[in-house]
Amino acid sequence: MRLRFNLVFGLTLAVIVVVAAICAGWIAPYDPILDADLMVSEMPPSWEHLLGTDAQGRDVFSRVLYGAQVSLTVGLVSQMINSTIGTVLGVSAGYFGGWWDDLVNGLTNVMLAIPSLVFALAIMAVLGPGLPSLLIALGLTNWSWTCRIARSSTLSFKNQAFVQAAKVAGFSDANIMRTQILPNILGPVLVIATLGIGSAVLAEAALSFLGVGISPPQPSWGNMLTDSRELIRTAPWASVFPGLAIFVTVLGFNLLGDGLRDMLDPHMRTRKA
Amino acid sequence: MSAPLLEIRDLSVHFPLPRQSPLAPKRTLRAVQGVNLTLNEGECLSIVGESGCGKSTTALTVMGLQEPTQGDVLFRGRSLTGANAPGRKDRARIAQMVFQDPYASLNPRQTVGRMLSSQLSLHEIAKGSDADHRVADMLTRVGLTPDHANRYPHEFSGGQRQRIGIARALMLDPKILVLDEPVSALDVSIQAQIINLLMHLQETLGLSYIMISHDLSVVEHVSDRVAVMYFGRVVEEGDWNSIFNRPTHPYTRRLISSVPDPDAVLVGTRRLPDAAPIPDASRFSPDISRRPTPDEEPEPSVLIQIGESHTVRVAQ
Repeated sequence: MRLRFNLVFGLTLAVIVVVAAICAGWIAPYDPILDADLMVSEMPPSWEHLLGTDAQGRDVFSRVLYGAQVSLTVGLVSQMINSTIGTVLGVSAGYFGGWWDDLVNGLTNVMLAIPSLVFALAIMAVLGPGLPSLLIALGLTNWSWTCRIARSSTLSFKNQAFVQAAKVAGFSDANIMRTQILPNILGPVLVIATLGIGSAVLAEAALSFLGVGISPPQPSWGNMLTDSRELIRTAPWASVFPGLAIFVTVLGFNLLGDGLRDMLDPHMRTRKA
Repeated sequence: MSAPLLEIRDLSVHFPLPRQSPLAPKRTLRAVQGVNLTLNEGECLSIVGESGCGKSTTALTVMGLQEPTQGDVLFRGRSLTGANAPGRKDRARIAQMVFQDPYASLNPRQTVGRMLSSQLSLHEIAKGSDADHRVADMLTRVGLTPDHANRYPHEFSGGQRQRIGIARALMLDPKILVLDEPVSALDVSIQAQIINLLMHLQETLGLSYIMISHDLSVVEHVSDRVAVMYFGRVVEEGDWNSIFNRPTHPYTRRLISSVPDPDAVLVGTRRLPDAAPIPDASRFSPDISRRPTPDEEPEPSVLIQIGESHTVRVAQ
């Protein structure tokens, strides 16, 4: 049962990360910013500091937990923006066709041609660092796949008799897109969204690593990597654990996305009567 | 006499065909070509013909799902096409449609009750428990039970789905029902049930039907009048009696002879009724011994009267 494994394992990892982020305030033994004690800097993992301490003597475990809040906020919110933009553009383009379809298609192809990280970097350069601009930058640059999937699924539904029946019954185009088409294409859009969360977490880490994301001392997995990259020989735990956190989160959401896709794929569903 | 309920006047629908090469002349698919039909109150008009003859396109034009290239559709003398056409919502109260495929015509993600009651709230006819009542009434009327409202389409059989399709079409109390091959996707045993239901509903609700079909054995049971279409034109039209007892156009005769009649085959006495006489010098149009290409200009022809309310197309 490979199908089940992806879904269950991915879901477990994702839930652990989400719970950790939500409960960071209660679980974390130290304050991620204020509890800096240079006397205990670069300490290896111990019972006192489960994952060791960084160059400023801050508890890595606490910082990873609080970093999860940033990473997940960025991952979930920016992907929500992406999904909304992609779905609205894709469904309307597929439904109306004509010049609007051509325009959206052109825009999607342009977005696919530009590396999204470079585009996000450019937006960050204009807006300046910080969480809100990070959400905007990542939320505006990764909607092209959602848009494509939404458009192609819409095309397969818009000529179905039930859509014509809704037209004949007098429903407006907006209503038809919302009540007839959207519920039918939600599956594939959701799968893309789940996969997108992983890449948004990675992109946040990359941007913060490059210094344009979340600025220190606010912890994020990306800027923790930047801060500790010079300690990689003397205090590897300060960079290994944030890296591991990124790895686990991305893996979790990607497996969840794969599992969802398998579950929603009609060809995989034949066993379920 | 007052204006007929629905009048299709000189209707043509053309589609552009892709050019065969950049230098080739423009080609046009003449799906519907100068069709004139009238539907009177309480009547069932059948449009029959093979697939691709333009019967469904005619139906879609009546429903407003297809813009006519030329001509007009009038409801009680009021135009349903062009700039002054009523909006989608007004039009919904005039005519509704039952679709051919009972599987594709129901949204898999919507319960039957929601599908039916959403129409009522859109048109501000009823809300809340009043709407639920009307939905339950309608489901009973088409031979289902009120508790079917909470189910999704995949829980129903083909025949039940077609009943739901009929319920949906009747929710807004329309005057005209366009039936696009309403039973051709169903089992023969179910076909009879649905036909009986449609006839019963027509009688009790005073509906007028336009029935599209390629199956004359279905048409025979319900129609008052029949129009036979061939390559975009009406080739013969008349009341039920004249079409089935005096089929005149060679194409109509071919259609009728294709209806299986097991008794006649067994006894070996299969024969068609005689054709009505047509004037000496005239020739039927189009010539069905060769198949026209869909983009060719049709030959000039007229419908001539050959009996009381019985016309046939001859070359001019």
